Amino acid sequence: MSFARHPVAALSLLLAGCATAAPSSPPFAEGGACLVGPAEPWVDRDAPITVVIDAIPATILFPTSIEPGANSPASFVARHTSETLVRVDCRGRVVQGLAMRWDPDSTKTRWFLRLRPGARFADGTRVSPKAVAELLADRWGDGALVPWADLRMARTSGDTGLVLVFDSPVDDLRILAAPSLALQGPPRGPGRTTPEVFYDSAGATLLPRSGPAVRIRFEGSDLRDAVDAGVDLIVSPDPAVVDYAESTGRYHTEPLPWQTIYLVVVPTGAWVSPAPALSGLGGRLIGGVRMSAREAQAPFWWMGQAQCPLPRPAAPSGLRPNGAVVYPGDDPSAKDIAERLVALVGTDQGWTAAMRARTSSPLEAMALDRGEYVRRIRAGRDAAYVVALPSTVLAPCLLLQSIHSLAPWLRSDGDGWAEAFPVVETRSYALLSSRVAGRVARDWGGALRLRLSER
Amino acid sequence: MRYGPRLLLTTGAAALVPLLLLGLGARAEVSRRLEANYQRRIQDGLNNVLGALRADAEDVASRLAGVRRIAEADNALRPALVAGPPEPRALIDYAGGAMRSAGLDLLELRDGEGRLLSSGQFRNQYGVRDSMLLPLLDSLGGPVVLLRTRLAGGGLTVVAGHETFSAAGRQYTLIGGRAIDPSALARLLPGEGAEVTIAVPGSERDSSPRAASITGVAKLPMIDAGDAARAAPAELRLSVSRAPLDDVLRGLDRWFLAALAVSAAAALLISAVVARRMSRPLRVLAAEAERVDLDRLHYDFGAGRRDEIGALGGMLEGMIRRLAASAERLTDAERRAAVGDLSRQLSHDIKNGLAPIRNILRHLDKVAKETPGRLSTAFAERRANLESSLAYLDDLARRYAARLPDLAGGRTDLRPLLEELAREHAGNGIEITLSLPPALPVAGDGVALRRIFENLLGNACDAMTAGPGGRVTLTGRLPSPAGPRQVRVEVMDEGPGMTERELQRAFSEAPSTKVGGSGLGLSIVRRLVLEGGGALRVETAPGSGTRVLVDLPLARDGEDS
Repeated sequence: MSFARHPVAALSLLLAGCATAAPSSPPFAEGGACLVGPAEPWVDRDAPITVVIDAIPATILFPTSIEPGANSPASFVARHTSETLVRVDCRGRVVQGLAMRWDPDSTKTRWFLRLRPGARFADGTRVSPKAVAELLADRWGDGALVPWADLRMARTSGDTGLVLVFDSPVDDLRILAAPSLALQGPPRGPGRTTPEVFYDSAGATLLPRSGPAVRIRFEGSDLRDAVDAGVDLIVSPDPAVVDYAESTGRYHTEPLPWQTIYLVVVPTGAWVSPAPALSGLGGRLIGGVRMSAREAQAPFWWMGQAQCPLPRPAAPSGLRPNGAVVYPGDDPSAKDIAERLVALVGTDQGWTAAMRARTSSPLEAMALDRGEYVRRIRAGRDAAYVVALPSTVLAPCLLLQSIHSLAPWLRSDGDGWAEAFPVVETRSYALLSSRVAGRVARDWGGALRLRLSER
Repeated sequence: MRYGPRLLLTTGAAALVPLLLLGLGARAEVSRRLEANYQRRIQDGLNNVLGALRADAEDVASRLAGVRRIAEADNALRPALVAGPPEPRALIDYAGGAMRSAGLDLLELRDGEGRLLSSGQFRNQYGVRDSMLLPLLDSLGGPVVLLRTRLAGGGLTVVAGHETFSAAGRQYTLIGGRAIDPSALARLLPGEGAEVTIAVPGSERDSSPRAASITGVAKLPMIDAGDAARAAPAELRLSVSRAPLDDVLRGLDRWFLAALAVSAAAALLISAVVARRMSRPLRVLAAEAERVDLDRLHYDFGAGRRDEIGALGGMLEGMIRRLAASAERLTDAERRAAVGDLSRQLSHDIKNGLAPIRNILRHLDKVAKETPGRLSTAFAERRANLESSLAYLDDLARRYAARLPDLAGGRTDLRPLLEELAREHAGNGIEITLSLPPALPVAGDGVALRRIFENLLGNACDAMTAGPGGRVTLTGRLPSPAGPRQVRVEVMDEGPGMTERELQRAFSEAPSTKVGGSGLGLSIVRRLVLEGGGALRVETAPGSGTRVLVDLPLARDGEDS
């Protein structure tokens, strides 16, 4: 399976997981979590909990199914109705999921996992090592068990033991926290003990075994309406919404980790000599971004990946690029960056001269749908691309390889790319009503999880 | 050049040149009038468009005045203005909301130095400074000022206005505008195919007017606010497609070409018919002229026609008649000359024959006077001599009689004569074929006729005896009821034929060198035929034999046989 197909696979997987089953181990009960907001007395505990998420658009150039940090309505539902063997907490530590212990052999290619006792699927059947091995095998089909993670084989070891064999040494098992490795059990049965999911035109409803129902709205218009409606958990990157929520005095606002980093990527031979001209560009662009943003700050996750084997870049085409600064049309922050970049070109004599000398047409921002955007990046014939990447990743080398497979002209050096310049980072805010403050955990990358069973 | 093509060229030129002039003239006149009509229409359209732009400018000014009043009273904007850079978000986003509220397509808020504080049409252009823009706006007069500005993707041209206000002791300028919609402006011109463009002549974005269009131009002041504002006088171009005009002209061309083609075809047809009708009698005349022979007296040159051809034919026939008369006189003169020669020869011969007789008679007279007794002896001695002289004279008389036959008079049936001659000459590899009607009655002496055809047949046979033999054909034809009353006899051999020179020699009066020949040849034959009122013609060429055609008068009824 190619990485380019992973986002689709992940989405279908998450939806499948929501619709079928989840491990029966308590999803809302684990210790040591990073909680959001100060806990207040639990009032009106039987009333439904409402959630609205205005997600930052998913980045494009890497498979989102690998990174667990995204906050979207679908991933939020999946996070509560399925479970991975391990998870990564807000501090980057690998913590237990379905597995409670994991130990490598001396070569670190063979890992022995012990499953959590009492873990059950939605129909009440026990989560056995055999079932886990079969599910992993069914999921990825022929060849290696999980090719992109170098996982070659999974076999049972006793009633609760599971042995995973990798093709190359693995320092830790954080890759097993990838959303696409969340396990789905047998079809829903009468013995269900974990939240059941119902979908309608407005969103999804989780019905846990005990406690209040959770209502997740998938599509919202103006999130200030959600504030006015008293929604319990609102996730938004829009400062205007945050300001409005704070102005009501009813919400605790919690900034989530910097989630997305935007880069201006200039193909080799494009309109500007990259290194000197674009340094400090982030500081000039930041004011144009309407979402909560800051100038990108090193170190970045792709630095220090010299050991990561990357393909040789394609030879420069030698053609004059056109004047398009291309960005994904559904990403407002990318739009702001592209337009600010175009606006600033007219104010900088160096940029303007370079633009006129090296591009075949005047610089202009160009919004594209995601398919066309990826095709244009692959061709590398435009003046510049605004590219969004996750700020934190579990598998940097894997993602670097994925990016290079989509933009083969990118020249890597020991510390990153020669043609890509990180400019801006954005993040979302969690707005919590007093009912859920202190009862929401923040995982790796700012992924939110309700912990309502701890009362 | 033949008569037909010359007639065609003449007719074609006469028919087509005036038509061509008419067509080209009509086309030029129609084109000129239609183009003038289009120009008037375009000028009306330009006036309409300029009026619409003036109305837009007034509308922009009105809306911008409203925005200015609201901005001056806006307590949220004032602190943002006072705060200044770094740009408060409220200031950056101010122009976008105000622009949408005012129904404008462009709204910029700039400080006194031309620094863009807020842009409605290009939000992230804030902070860009253009020190030339405001002075240009102040300096450009006229009811309509155009402003071309950059967008994040592309450009925007508006009818612009500006308003200035003060806040916290500083001056600010609001620049507003409404986008020019060329398609809406084009609709101000009735009809289809109009196009309005605004271009800066000589700029890289200036596109030439459509090739197939008629364009009217009006000058407008414009500011090109690209990287640095500059005055760029613009041209408002209103183009109307030439397609309808071209359709009319194409239709005219089609009709004109059709008329031209029909005229050309008619000219071709008429000239062909006329040329054919005029050249046919000429060809007949020429063919008849080719057959002119002074021995023939009857020719048809179409003298009965009542046109120029008839006149020409009459002249030719008269000429032929005169030529024939001249030839007859020439023949008569020749005959008289020949008779004269013959008379002198005859006189000489008779004198030669009489001289011995005169001498004998003188001798006998002397004997009778001197010795009458010896008269009988002397007569006996001279008798043989006398008889010899008489025999000489008798022979001389016969020979001259043979040379001067009398063809005229009498009636002879040529068939038995020709059959007899054929029998006499056949043999020695020569086959003689006869094709004769049952009777060929001609007016003429049988002896003379025998001499004519004996000579001709002999010549024909002689021509072939030099070779391996061959066939001689004797053909006789009676006259047709409508033709001249003449019998024609053809003597045709398969011999070597004669050259022109040989033929002339054959007709000469020189004595024949042929062994056994009469010494007279075709010359005497022709003379005999002419004296008999007939005609003789020889058709011959080397290698193709010889055909002698003899026309003799048909014997009239009642003539002696």
